[in-house]
Amino acid sequence: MEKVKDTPRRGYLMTGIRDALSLYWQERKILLIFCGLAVVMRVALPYLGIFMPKLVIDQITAQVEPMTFFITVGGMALLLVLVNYVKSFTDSITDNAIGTVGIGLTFFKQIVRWMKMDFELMESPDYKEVEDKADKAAHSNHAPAMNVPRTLVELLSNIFGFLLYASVIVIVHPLILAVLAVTAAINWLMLRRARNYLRDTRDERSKLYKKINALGDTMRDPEAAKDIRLYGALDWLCTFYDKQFRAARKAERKLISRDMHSQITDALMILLRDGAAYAFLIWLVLNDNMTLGDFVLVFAAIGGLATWITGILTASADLSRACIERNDISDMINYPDRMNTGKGIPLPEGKDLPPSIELSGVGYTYPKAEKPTLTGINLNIRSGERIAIVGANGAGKTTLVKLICGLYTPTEGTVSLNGKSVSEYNRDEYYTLFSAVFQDIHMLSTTIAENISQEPPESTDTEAVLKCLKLTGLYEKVKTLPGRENTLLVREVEPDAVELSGGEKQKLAMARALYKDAPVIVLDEPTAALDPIAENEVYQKYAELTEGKTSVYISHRLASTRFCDRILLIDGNVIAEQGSHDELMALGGTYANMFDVQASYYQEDNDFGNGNGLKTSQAV
Amino acid sequence: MTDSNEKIPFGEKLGLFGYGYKLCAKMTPSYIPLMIFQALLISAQPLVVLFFSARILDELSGGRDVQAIILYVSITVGATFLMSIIRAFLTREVETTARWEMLYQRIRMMKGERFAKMDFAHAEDSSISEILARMDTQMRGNGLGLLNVYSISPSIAQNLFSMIFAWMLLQGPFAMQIHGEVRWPVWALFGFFVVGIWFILRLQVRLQLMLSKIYKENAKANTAARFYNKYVGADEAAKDIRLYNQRDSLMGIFKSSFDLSQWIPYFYFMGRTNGVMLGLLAVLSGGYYLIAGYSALGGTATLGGIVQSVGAVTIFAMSIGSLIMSLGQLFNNAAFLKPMQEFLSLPDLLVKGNKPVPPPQEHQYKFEFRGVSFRYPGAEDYALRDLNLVFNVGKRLAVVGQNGSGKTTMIKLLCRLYDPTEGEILLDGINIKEYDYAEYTALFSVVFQDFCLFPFELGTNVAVGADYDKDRVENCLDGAGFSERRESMPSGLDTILYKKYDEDGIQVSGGEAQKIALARALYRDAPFVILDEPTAALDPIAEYDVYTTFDETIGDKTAVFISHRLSSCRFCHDIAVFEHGKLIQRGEHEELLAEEDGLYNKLWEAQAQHYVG
Repeated sequence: MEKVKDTPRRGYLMTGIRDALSLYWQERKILLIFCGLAVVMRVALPYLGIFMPKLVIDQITAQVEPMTFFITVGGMALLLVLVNYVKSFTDSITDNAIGTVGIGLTFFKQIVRWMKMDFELMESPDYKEVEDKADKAAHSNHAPAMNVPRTLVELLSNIFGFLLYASVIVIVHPLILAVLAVTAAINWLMLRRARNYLRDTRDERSKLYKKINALGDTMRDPEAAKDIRLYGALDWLCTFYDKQFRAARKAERKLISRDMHSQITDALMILLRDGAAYAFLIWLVLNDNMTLGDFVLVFAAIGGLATWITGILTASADLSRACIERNDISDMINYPDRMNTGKGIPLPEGKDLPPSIELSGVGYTYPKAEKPTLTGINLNIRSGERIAIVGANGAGKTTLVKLICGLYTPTEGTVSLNGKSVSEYNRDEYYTLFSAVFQDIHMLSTTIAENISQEPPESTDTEAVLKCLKLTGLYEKVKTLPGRENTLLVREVEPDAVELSGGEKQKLAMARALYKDAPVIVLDEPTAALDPIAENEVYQKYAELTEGKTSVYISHRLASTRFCDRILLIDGNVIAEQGSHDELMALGGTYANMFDVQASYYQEDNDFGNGNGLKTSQAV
Repeated sequence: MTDSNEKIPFGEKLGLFGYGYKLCAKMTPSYIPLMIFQALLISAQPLVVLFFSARILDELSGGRDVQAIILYVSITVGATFLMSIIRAFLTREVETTARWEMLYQRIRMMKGERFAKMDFAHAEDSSISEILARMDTQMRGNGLGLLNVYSISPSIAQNLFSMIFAWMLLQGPFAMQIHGEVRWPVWALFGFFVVGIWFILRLQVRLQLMLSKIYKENAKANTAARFYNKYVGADEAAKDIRLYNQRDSLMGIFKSSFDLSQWIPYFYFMGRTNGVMLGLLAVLSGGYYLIAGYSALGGTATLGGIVQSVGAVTIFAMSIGSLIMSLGQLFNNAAFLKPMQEFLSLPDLLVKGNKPVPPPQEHQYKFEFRGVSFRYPGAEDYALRDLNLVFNVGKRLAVVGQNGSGKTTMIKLLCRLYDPTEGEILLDGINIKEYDYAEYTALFSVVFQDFCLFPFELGTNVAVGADYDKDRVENCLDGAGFSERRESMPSGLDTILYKKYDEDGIQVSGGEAQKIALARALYRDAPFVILDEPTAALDPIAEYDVYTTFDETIGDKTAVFISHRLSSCRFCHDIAVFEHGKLIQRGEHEELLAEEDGLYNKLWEAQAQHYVG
């Protein structure tokens, strides 16, 4: 990590600045123009501020006419009013608008990328690292990467301010500049020490905070509330928290101490600088006839110059960091897809549907995994065939299904649809062929009908929605709701929404898949949360639901496999057994064993449950 | 519950204002005195410098007494140095207690602890979660609420002191003569300033209104955007977005949450308001230059006097302006303290008695539900109706029924997560409310359907504590069928679960998590074991293993199994069937199966038909 940070890639400043400026240039050019104006104002105002006392003192020492005094000083005062006004305005743009607009626009770009990215990449550790960096860079509107124009303004105004002040001072004596440069450099070194420490300990501290946050989240997680109470976990969590908090406090204090050292050095430098400046300038006034106006101006310029120098150093360090982080964001936005997102061959239609799917020598190894999850899978799913996949937890059933749906690209072999490799189809067009229900179910914060149709109300076919609701058995519930199929979902977003139970969500997801009416149906454990009666209904209707489709069904409940044409048992990374239920039972292998274990519960004559529970139990 | 735009009466605001400082003093007792001392130094420093540099200027333009000049210069630079050093040390102390990160964590902890201690009914109440979420957004996004008290107080104290000190240089004991007999221009200038401040305040109010309008109009879009921000991630709905082509509609939601054409005018207006403020200050100091300069031309004011009074008047005016704004902010912030007050002062409703629970060794517990009915807070329908049920320790009870039939609710009442709405639950003839709460809950080892593991080490998860008996933890894990996976864990019992706490944590599957939760229940070694759908995520073999090993491991203890898989009933001679919140059947498997019209028979057949014959 450290090494990467120390050597940013070549040209990172240019790309960072270009990427950032083009973001604003495309949306609101005027913001960048205001930034330009801000540079002028940030130099003009401080200078006029130190010039005004000199002007007043000069006029008074010269004993000018009151009218002359009013005109010159009054004119200057008006100019100051104007500059103050304009500077405040442009500061609001650079300090507030730039960051807010920046994070909004960056966020859009990130979201678009997320939604268009290969699904597989999102899960890959390589991409995750890129994404984490980008997320850190775009964490708030105050983040450096969101404020590149502002930092540029700071750098430029400090450079111009330095030049202006230096030209005032150099007239008095060039040596003063050299002395000032030394004190500013010492200051900067201390400041940099504090900043470097901040940077070097950032990962360590963010790890600490991650821990504290996880603890805090756990304590207030409604889902953990039962377990915390019934297992008396609070005291333990609190002790744990105190320990972590003290560690964080210690880490912060170390950091703050560095800041304090830098402040003390600063105070010392000011003592030396101002002491020397007073001595020298007063000597000039007393012995060299320096005017009082010049004395006031130069003294103020000496104080100001140090600020400009520190400003240049700070702003250039900030700019460098901002550009590095801007590049982190670009890396995420430009992360290349691997699947075919260009033009693909036409999708099958008409008599070519439902499609056949062929896997030849297909294997899949998850990124960074040592062993393949699946290997050497040869499988030919015929057009309209009903396939059941069974196997133990973690055997790779879901992985196989994701390969078929085109969410994963096989790491060995090829998946073909109607004889054409999946990679020949356009990625997103290919997805239209699948109606899938996965184990994790997510709902949109719209009506039930729209959740099923995935279309806005005007293009939703209500008849079809109701039909799908009835087929999956959710209609019983929907008809009791006040808004029926137009009832909103997701309480988090819509306060009037209904909360569906786990089983109802599964039915909703199934209805959504049916509505899509795609030629291939993929169901991954669709009945895990259903009660026996509801589950049985799904089995009974399975033939109807998959009529004229190619279908793949994953389940732990082996009963379900009876409704399929062919059963695949995944075991040891391969298809260990396949055939119809009767064939597999006759084979007497793993499948038969699994089935017997499950069936044994239900057989009346089984001598079951000789555990202690039974021995001691008695009718109540 | 509390909308920040809601009108809160002045008196209540004042109360909340005080409440904020009370919390502040309770959370960080040393903060307020330290902060005041720091503010005193910060505000005094520029004015000390101003006063003595004016003296230097006067000395240079007048008597040119070198001794006096040396004295003044030494005081100026010396005092600056000394004050800076003290300030640096003070700042370190203030920052250590009140740095943003520290406060943020302290406040979160305060809320977390309260949440974990309050009645379970509150914890499950989604409106409470909403208050918490809103407080978080306000705190994180805008630093509002308690954080705001900390961030604004220093500015109030500093500006207050600056105002006082500046006044002392302007009119008070250290003031310099800057005007002759004619005083009206000074009063005119102050009059102009007062009108200006009034005008700026009005602009500020408008600015606030603009902001709250943007927030109000976008509140919904923002909530949706936050929701969908998670939604697009890989471990959320990324599959759905792709397979159901949801991109365009989601993008529409994101676009409406951040509308540039609303924000740009806001920033322009903010810029103009700030411009008017700074312009007004420039008018004031410019006017003072003219007045003081004119007097100096007439010989009634000195150069030092001009510098001092212009400097002082600028600081004075600036601190008044900032003070008013800070007070305004602090006052607006009072509304954001209300949810905090509401949350921290939620009443506890559960009755907590102090009767000791008889120790399990020599005891046979007997539980009885007597006419128990229960309605969830805010719900209209009863989740349980007139439940009468007796059971003794040492048995296996299976509870079956369809989704929503009241099975889990019964368990929640038994474990005292809720108290019954009507009726009572008795342990050995005494209402369970009368027992010591901690002792009573210690009777149960529960694995709920939606159990939750902690994102910490495996060992601490099983033992629910940092000091644990390693061998016993391992035995329990093995007893729950986790032995194989345990041996493959990279750091054994110290392996951290999930990535929330530590990047190096490992992900466990639903089935594995269920086994860990079972091990946790075993480790607790309570006389009463309750398993709510313990095998939903397990494959058939694992399910079988869990039932058989678990049945053996818990031995003489009482166990209640809740399951959709009626297979679990085969371990229990005693089966209770629930429907619509009522206990409708009770008995042995064969008895219940024999009741051909009964629900049990229907449930059993629905599953068994696929396996038999």
